Amino acid sequence: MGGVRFRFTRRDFIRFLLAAGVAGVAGSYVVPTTTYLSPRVTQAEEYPRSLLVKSNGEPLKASELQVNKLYLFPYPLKDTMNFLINLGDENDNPVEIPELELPLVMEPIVDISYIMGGSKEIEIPENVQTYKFPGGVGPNKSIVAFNGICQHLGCIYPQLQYTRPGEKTSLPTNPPEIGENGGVIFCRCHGSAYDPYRGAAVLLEPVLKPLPAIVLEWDQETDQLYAVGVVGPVIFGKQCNLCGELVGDKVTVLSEDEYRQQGGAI
Amino acid sequence: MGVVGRILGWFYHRLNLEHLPLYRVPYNYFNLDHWIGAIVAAAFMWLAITGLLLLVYYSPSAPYESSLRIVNEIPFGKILLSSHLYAAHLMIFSAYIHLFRNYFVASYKKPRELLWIIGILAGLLTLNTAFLGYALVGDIVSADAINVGKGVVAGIFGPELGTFINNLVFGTGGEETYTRLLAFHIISAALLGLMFMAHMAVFEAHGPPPDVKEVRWKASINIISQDRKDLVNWFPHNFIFIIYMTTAVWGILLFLVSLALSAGKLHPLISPVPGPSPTSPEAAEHPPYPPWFFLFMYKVADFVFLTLDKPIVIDLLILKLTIPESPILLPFILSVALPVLYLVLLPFIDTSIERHPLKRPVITIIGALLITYLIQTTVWGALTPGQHVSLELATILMVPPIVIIALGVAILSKIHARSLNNEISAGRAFVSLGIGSIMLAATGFFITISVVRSVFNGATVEDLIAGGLGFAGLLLGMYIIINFGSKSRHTAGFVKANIPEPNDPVQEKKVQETERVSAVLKEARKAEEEIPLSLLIMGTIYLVIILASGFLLANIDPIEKAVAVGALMSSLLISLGGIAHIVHRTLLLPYDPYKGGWKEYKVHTLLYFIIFLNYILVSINLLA
Repeated sequence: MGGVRFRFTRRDFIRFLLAAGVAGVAGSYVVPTTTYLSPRVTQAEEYPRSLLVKSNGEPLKASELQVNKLYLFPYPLKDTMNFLINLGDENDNPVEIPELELPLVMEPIVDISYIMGGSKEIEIPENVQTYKFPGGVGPNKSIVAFNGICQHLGCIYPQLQYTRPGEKTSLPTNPPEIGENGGVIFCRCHGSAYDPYRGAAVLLEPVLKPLPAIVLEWDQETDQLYAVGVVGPVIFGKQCNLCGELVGDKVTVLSEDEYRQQGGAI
Repeated sequence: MGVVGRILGWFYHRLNLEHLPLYRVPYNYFNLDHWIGAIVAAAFMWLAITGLLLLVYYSPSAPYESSLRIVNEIPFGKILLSSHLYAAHLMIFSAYIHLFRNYFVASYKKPRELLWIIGILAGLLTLNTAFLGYALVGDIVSADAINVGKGVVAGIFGPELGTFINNLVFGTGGEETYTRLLAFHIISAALLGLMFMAHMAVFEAHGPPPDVKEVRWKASINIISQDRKDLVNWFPHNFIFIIYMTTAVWGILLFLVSLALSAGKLHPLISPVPGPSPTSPEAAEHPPYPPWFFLFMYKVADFVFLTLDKPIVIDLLILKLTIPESPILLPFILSVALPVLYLVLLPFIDTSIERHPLKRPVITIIGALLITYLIQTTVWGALTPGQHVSLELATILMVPPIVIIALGVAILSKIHARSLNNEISAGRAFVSLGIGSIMLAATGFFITISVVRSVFNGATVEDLIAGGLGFAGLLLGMYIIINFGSKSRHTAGFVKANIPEPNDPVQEKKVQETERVSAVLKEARKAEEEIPLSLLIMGTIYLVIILASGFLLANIDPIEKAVAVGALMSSLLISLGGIAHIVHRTLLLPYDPYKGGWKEYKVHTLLYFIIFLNYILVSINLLA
């Protein structure tokens, strides 16, 4: 005790100056470097209103969409590809898709009564924000569109794929009826599954968020379709749904075959 | 020992910093004369760092637009792009100084021939990288560079090989051109990095050549014995000095950039920002310049009498060579190929043991002429871009330097030899030499001007100025010649210039030095505690400047206030350089006690002055 003598020599002070100087200069250069390197995000104010057109440039008619077939189109950004499906039953008769309130974060659906057309609603956990899935549009209110980037880790078509109803799958959904009988959006990457008939609600983990829904408008007189917005979780991998290069006032809808022929590039 | 000391000690021992296998140099070698190469290296490091950062935003598909975007829209982009350009200028300029310094003190002699040759080749690669770099910008200078570059390649290598090389480097047009230029710019810079490493590796093989005064300007003993007692360890001495040199060079570079940015529209040769677009109306008013470091070759290309207007067939016994007609082949050979060939071969041409410029007069004359012609043709090119030069004009302007320099050096050599034999004091001898050579040069200058005016009426005023400034190069050469041997600083009690040559000066000196240094080391402990208060105060001021500049830097708009940003970034680095120099000085205290006075403060005076100027720039920019 008391034997330790602390001496702060002039050389110690010089050393301190050097260390503090290096730290000060390095620290002062961190902010400029990171500011310089951070990409400048261009964020639009509002969603574009984009007419859906066919690959030949003509407007797409809602009644031309084949039932239970997958179409793809980009919206609201040039690099966010979406699924467009005219949903039907096993016999390809269009099915009306109702409005629905969905949680932004959810457990997989396991209630059979809801799935079989019963009255019980999707359970919304406490303190979780919800959004309104707008339901189907078109003559039969059967046309829906979802963002085609899986909310789990961002896999896209063809890893994220649509299975038509009636097509047998081996999805281990609980209850098994819905997954086994098809009519799901399924991600081959990590086994997440969504229910397109119910706003792309989660059927199978590991994903916790539904797919964002593209809000569609159907013009009854011309039978044309417009994409006008996005609801639900933020599109996977984006800072915000409008952060990036926006599509124009026309977006091209491609069938699966056309999309593959073009190598995925629009 | 505190925790920090123990942590630092752990690194010190684990990295074996005390016994690094790097050449140790005497304590009095830490001055600008021996460290010009560090300026080149610091500029190169800055180029590498900023170049990699610029790669994030540069786009070969829109070269001009992306360059302008970096300058105008990306925070800190203006400083980054401008300092990249200025660092290239600094690197080339300091490489020339490095080259000629070592040329005149004959650092290339045995065993450093390889070091010299690698240096020359690295210099060529530097110019190549610089060309590929400024061609990337996409402005009018860049567009000219690509077109003229293609023409030069075709003119040098002939139509077939030239087209092959042009397609290789420039692609076949459009976006591909800039993609290839970017790739080759980076490849060239990476190769330059390898050359730099090779240069340093070969340097470490024999260390620096001994200071000329220690060896009485002889190359007979051309390595620094590692048994000498006045050597210091690489760590921390060289390490700290490298930090000082690097940060000071970067700081001065950023100061010059900020100064240039604050000056508004500058002459295209020194403008730090991209010029007008090649398709804009302003492009027509832009002089058809390359950057200054290619002006010399650009002017020689105006020497119309060097044009080969018909193919030349060389008929050797077994080989028939056809040299196609070319406007650029002879200018290229004269202005680039021959000088480079000469410099590469120099270690094998000048193999004497003499290192004094006046004891190898032919080498000195050629060196002074290289400088003269380099400056002359550069200034000439800047003043009269693209104007033809006839054989008569070229003769009138370029022959007198040969006569004057040759005569001058011959006379100086005689006086030099006599002054040593007659034991005249070196100082007096060199003062008279200095006055004599200035008079010589001035006389030559006026004679030439009057000759030109009376004999040759076709010369423009600009030609005359160019010719006259050519003699500035001559004066510089003379100054360098005179400078050697006249100064006794850093000799630290070594051989006096007027002592007749002893049998082995190094051996004698070593004995003296050993005694002196061992006595000095006894005082080391004492000196440790005798760090003068002035150094501590100066260091504290530097630290305060660092903190203040860092605070300001984080709180100003980097796009609107680019000048202030650059000046603050400069102040940060210069202050760190100042602290590093203080550390360096305290490390030398055991060998070189603190004397006080002007010499102790001159580095800090310069650094504080630049910081002061920086803050003037900051104030003007922030208040505007």
